[in-house]
Order: sequence, then C-alpha cells, then structure tokens
Amino acid sequence: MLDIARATIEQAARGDIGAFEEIYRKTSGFVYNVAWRVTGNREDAEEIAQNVFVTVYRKLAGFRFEASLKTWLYRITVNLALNHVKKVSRARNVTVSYDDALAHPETGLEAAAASVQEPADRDRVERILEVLNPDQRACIVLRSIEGMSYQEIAQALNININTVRSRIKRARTTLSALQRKGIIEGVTS
Amino acid sequence: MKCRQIQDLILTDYTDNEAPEAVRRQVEEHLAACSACRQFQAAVRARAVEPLQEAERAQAPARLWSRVTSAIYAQPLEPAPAGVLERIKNLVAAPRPALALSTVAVLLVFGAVLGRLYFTGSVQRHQLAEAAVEEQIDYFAYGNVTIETDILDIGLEEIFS
Repeated sequence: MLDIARATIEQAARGDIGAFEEIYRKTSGFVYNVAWRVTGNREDAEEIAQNVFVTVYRKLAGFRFEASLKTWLYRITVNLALNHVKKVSRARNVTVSYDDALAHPETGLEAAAASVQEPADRDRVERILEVLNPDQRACIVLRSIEGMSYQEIAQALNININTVRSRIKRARTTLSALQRKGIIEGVTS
Repeated sequence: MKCRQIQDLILTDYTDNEAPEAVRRQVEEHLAACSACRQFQAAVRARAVEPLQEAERAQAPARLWSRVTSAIYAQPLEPAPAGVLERIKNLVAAPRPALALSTVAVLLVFGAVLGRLYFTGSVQRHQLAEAAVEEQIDYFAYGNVTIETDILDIGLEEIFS
C-alpha cells in the first residue's frame, strides 16, 4: 500500500507542486516499470510515464478516494501503455493472432515468432512478454511482476475477474507452448 | 477433479494462491497421484511463471521528473469546475431577473408540452402508426424491393400493438 497521506493528495489536487512531487517520488517506480513491461520499450515507457503524471496532475481534483490512488495510477498507466502498444501495432500492421498460432502450432508459432523484432539489448523478460497480445501481457505483468491479486487487477483494468483469469491462463499457455518449441528463449525440457 | 480441471487451476488460481483451501487440497492430492499433472505443473512454473517473477525492476530515469514538470508548466492547471451544488448556490446568491424570468417561461412551456402529450398521446401515437404504415406501403410500392410478408406482418403488429 502506498504511504501517501490524504492531505498530500488534496494539496497536490489544488496545484501544490511540492505535494505532487511527493506522490511522484513514491509512485514513479511502479508506473515506469509497468509502462516498460507492457510496451517492451524503455523510451516508450518514459514517454508514457510522463503522460501518466501529467494526466494525474490535471485530474487529481476529480479523484474521489473511492479506489486507492495506486489502483487509479495502475489504471491510467495500463490504459496509456495499451493505447500506445495498439497504435504501434497498427502502424506496423502486425496481424499475427497468437490464439490462431496456438490453434495451428506447426505453422502458426513460427509465424508469430517471425513477427517479433529482436534488438540486441532486450532482456529475457521483454522477449518473453513480446509474444503475448497486449491485453494478456497487461494482466500477466500486473500478476507475475507487480504481484497484484486477480481482484486488484480486475479493478485496475475495469474488467471482470473471470476475464483476468482467462487472460492469465491464455498467456501462460502461450508462453509454455512457445518455450517448449524453443521459439522463445527459456527452459526447453 | 479431472486432469484438465487440475491443469486449468495450475495455470491460474492454484499457482497464484487464489484458490480456496479446499480446492488447494484437492489439487495437491491429485498432484501426489498423477505424474502427468506434476510434469505439467513443473513446465508451467519453469516456462511461464518463474522467468517473470525474476524480472529486473528498473528505476525511473532521473530526467523524468523534469520532463513532467516542464509539461505541467507548459499548460498550467485550470481552476476546477464548480460542482452542481456550487452552481445552484451561485445562481441563488446572485439573482438575475432576466434569467429567472426566462427559466420560468421555459418551465411553463415545457409543462404545457408535457401535458398536451399526456392528454393527446394516444391520438398522436395512432397518427404516427398510420404515417409509418403509409411510408412502408409507399416504400414497397415504389421501391424495387422484394416484399417479405412475414417481416411486414411483424412490423404492422408491432405498430398497432
């Protein structure tokens, strides 16, 4: 849980930049990491994190304390990151369906992997996450990297808890299948 | 539970500690007796769970805060819009005769229209239905279309119900 006093949030909402900086210091780490893991790119993550905090600063006056500040921040971050990923995907015209790939493993998985760019400086987690569709990726990042419960993820993404469960199941099925075939780096046993 | 259900739980609730205690026990009993599901569990852990749990966590770049403040100062915060209660209070606190009179006039006209609709509603609905039927007949008569009588019948019934 974030250790941010309600008074600090209210001060920041009135435009107090010092109070807003305190919020920033306590939350920028997870905002940046979620943006990085969902987009798979540190430069994009920086731009998204900037947009998240500008959005938060402008909308803080409307924050009603019904959800936690952290949940609200996760929601803004994931929404902006997903919008970015989907926009970039459309621009690249990447149309591989990973669900189709799993349905036709002999041809589909190679097609899916072939669409994945492999810059040299990518870490293993980036390469693993890149094969997932953006919605599944967001759920698996919030669960496996951020350690959120299914209920917290459902609230942050504003989706049904069974949708969270289904996306996590599909994501792990995809990751297991791709690593078994050696298409993405991992345990090959 | 069958292997398929156990494997679904391994992919989700069991691995993520979301399963109730009774379900957890059932999964563990099944795993103790089923080597195929034990292998499945080991593979999922190794390929889809542990690599992500070991993910590096990065610090936000130091320049991010100055980027945020530059963007904020480039477009300063606008005063928050007043809420509904605040707006009503302002209206009462600063009476404006012309506005008040025009509000009363609008309310009177609105009330008159509502009353007319209430008393003449059935007549108007009937007229609307007739107009709709006429439009349909015109459409089918002059348009180059094939009439599907069952669809037409349903339409007429609905209009006259």
